[in-house]
Parts: sequence; C-alpha cells; structure tokens
Amino acid sequence: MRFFENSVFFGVTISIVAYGVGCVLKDKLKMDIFNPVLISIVAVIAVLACAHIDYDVYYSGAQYLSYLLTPATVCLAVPLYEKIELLKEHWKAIVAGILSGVLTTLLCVLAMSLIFGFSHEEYVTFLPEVYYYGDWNGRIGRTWWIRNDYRCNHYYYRSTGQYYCTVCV
Amino acid sequence: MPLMFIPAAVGLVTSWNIIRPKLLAYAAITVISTLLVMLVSGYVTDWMLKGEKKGEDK
Repeated sequence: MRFFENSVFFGVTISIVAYGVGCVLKDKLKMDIFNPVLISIVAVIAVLACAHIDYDVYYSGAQYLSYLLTPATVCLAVPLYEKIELLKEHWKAIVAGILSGVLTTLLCVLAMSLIFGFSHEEYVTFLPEVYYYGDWNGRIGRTWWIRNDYRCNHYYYRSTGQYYCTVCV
Repeated sequence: MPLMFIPAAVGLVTSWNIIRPKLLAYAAITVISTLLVMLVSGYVTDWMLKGEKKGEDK
C-alpha cells in the first residue's frame, strides 16, 4: 500500500476510479444531486481521510489532471465556433446577458459579504477573477480591480503552496 | 472534462479549517449568487431576443 501511495499514478488512479464509481451510481440512482463529480469528490476525500493520506501526496499525481484543465477549457471554443453564425446573429442579446450576469454576481457577492461581515480576503475569493496570469517563477498571479482607486495583487506559488499579496496581506 | 475538476475540489480539505466556522454563509453565498446569475442573465437574454423578433416583424 505504501508503494502505491508513493506512486505518481496514485492521484490519477483514485480520481478516475472515483469518477467511474460516480457514473455507475448516477445511472443507478437517477437523481441529479448525485452527479458523478460530486460523488467522486466526496469519495476521494473519504479515501484520503480514512487512509490518512496527505493532500500533497494525492496532488503530486492528480496535478496532471488539473494541468489538462487549461487546454480543455480552450477546447470549449470549438463548439462555440461551430455556432458562430448564431452568435453573430444574436450578439446584442448575448453581450447583454453576459454583462448583466457579471454585474449580478459582483453586486450579489458584495451585498452578501456586507451582510455576513466577510473580511477582504474572503470577499475577493468569491469574486470572479478579472485577470489571471502566470509568470516564469511558477507563480500564479491574480489581480482584481474592484474600484478605480483600489488594486489588489494576489500571488500563489504553485510549487510551494504559499500565498501572499503585495497589497492586502 | 468534469474529471479534471476533482483534484481542485478535493483541495477544499486543505482549507477546511478556514471554511468550517462559516460553512453556512459560504454555502448560501455560492448557491444564491449562482441562482441569481442564472435567472438574471437568462431573463435579460430572453428579453433581448424577444425585442429582436419584434423588430423583425415591423
């Protein structure tokens, strides 16, 4: 078991197996709340907790799955491109929908943060990221512009898992 | 593709100590803002599309 834990394939294997179990369970239960992703997340957390496996051990393998997420997101542009004529035709409605959605989420998060008395850190976590970039140090930077006079830089070191901010923390 | 979200979501365990005291507030803000965005952008797009159709009829 120790050998298996140390293997790079551990994280990938456990994720894929959990997702497979999730798909089977969804077919059996036929309820929307039991979607494969939710089932597999709960299953993986349960396995890690029961076997006392550290998240870093799991992530050393599972990072390759996460790594594929970025190119997969880019691939979503393909089905969008297939509908390009439809998009062109209704661009006004689409732009209006996107803008109203963005404004709604920003205002909703702001209002509820004020109601619950969230700290600045918690508040920005719920905001959708406006600007997202990585640099050659392996850092992932996130920048939010909330008001004109306010700018906040968050850095997260992917390699070490450290988190710091040049302005607010 | 949903498979690739699993590692990130399992990462929630690393911040469980931060999440736990305010779990209800976090859950509420996530669910309510998601529903609200779906409703607002859906209705706005629908309303705009109806406006386009009316314009064509004239």
